Amino acid sequence: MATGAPTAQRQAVPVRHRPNIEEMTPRQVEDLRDALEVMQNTTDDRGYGRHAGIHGLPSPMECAVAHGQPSFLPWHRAYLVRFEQALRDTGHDVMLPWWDWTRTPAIPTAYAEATRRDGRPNPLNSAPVLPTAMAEGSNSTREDVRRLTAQPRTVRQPGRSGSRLPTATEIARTLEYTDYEQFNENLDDFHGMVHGWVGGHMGFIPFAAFDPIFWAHHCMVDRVWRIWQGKHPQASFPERLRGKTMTPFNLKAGEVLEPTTLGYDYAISIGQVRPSE
Amino acid sequence: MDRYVSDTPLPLPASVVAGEFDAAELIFYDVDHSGASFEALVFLNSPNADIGAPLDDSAGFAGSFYIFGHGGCVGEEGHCDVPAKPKDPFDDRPLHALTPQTKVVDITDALQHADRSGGQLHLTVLPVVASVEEVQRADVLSFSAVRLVTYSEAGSPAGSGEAAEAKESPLDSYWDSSEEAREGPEPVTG
Repeated sequence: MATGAPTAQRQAVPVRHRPNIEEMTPRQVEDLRDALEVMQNTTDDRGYGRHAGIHGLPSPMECAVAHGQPSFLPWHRAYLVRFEQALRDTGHDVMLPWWDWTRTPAIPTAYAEATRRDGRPNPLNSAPVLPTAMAEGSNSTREDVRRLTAQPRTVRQPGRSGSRLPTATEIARTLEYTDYEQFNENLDDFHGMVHGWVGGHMGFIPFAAFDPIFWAHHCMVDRVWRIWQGKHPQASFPERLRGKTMTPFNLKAGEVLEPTTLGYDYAISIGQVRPSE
Repeated sequence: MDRYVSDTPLPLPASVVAGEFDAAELIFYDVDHSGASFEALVFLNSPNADIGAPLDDSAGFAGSFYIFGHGGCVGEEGHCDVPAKPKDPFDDRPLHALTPQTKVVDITDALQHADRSGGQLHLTVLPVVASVEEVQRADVLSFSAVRLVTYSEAGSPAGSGEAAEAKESPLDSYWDSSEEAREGPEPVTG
């Protein structure tokens, strides 16, 4: 059993696993939807809008330090950790899933379904956008962004002409880089390509994190980084970045390099049985 | 711009013409990311390459970079103006969110297969914006310079060259000794 690395404050404990969305059982998907539904219905600072708004609008756009820069990977790792902790605060024993867009070049079914089995809206399909974000976005100099602000809930336009998803071959080549900064930059580009392919709110930095698929996409990006770390254990992380705080998550870049110290790892599938009483 | 075709070709040093390189990169400087999200498709020796060209050697496709755009400015006047350098030495705030980016495209395979016999290379960059109706080129591409850097097996630059700047006034191409190739180009003077 994998355990998190012990620290002075914490003994080694079993880590939790982020699942492949395509391998989740219907029950696991429903649990995830329940947790997300609670977050989306919470309007205070524990809620979905507050966390989604960190990435872009409403201002300040905290991700300003995180795109096209070496802190792209650690900033988003810290973001996922904080979001996942808030998701678990809802009382549901869930972890964020990852969407492998090289193997599933389509919106995963769990995210594409408009409604749940009981007819309620599927919180993985769409989420409300904070009115303050929409109000600010309506001032954009770009017409396509202003049009988006007329949508109170997130929308997608997957696979539009001119967009594409990264291929397994491209990601395999990215994994061959031995230098962190080259790897980070290359993966940052492919990550942007997925945002563009999903389209709608995901296609623009100010609104991207409001779309629930943002989290599954970024878990995949984080997983690729995790795989790269395992593949190149000798690769060094830039010293100048280690002490940088990933605002507003109160985590330094050097503190997020090892996922198990943050309490998670990635799994292909998760099955669980409990011994009978 | 909605398309960049190098007015002045990149000159290739003898070592590159002879294929004496193990890796090659195009480095784009000061790339704007304030507007739409787009993929910039890079072609070698294919000045007429356009949307729909196959993304393989047959069309001279060399690689791409992607801009995840900020979607325009939502602030008041001056909000999205990147401050001019130099920065106050006591100001340790992060750089402005719209500080232009540097993008690197690995063109090793494409350069190995490209016709280098003429000692020069033509570069075409097509920005592609996903559209509801059809593939679109859009006026979203802006960068200050692009440099070709090749590397030997030891990992150090084997040569570099800078092509025309990408805005209005083309520059003369030149070669330098490339020690600072990863650090960025000298200020463009035209």
